[in-house]
Amino acid sequence: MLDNRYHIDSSPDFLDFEFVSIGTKGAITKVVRYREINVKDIYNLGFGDKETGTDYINDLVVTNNNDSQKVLATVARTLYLFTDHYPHASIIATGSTSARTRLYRMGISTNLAAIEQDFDVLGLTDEDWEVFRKNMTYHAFWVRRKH
Amino acid sequence: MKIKQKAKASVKKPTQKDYTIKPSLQGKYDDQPVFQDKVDRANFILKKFGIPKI
Repeated sequence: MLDNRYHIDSSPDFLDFEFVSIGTKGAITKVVRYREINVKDIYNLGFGDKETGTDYINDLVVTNNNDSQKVLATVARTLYLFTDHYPHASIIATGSTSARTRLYRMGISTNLAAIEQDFDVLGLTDEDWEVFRKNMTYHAFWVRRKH
Repeated sequence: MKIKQKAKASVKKPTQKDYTIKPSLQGKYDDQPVFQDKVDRANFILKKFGIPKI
């Protein structure tokens, strides 16, 4: 599943990425951005659709371009590119809605065996972080590259 | 009979064919509020739950 992905454009500092989703609704530019938060070496993963004709990013839109697995695999690719250049970084990812968080969880679950070869993945429950388990409900995800 | 074995391709790691460096992307989305909101949320989560100890 993870080998079916889109070509990625990257900023020289490997913090900003774009790719174009091609599907039943046409071509939609997706943006992935890693930003360091208040704690050193911890980054947030931001993700959204670029609205046509502007640089405005919408992370609430439901594209329904029938390529969600390919999109998630491409986002996973940006994780490799990012952590190749920021090997000590940890990444927090949250969905903009509970439905999108669930979609992330499903994407991680589907590809867990491949992802766990190179990354530690944790999920945030109501109480604490735990090692990611399938079929659990999480509010956020924590990812770091294995060394 | 010789059986040709397919080279096992990496299924995960990006190769240079997977991406292109675009200088115009650098800082392009610095002013997007949606990304600042996400950073704020991540900061809130860390403040409430801390850094994972696992």
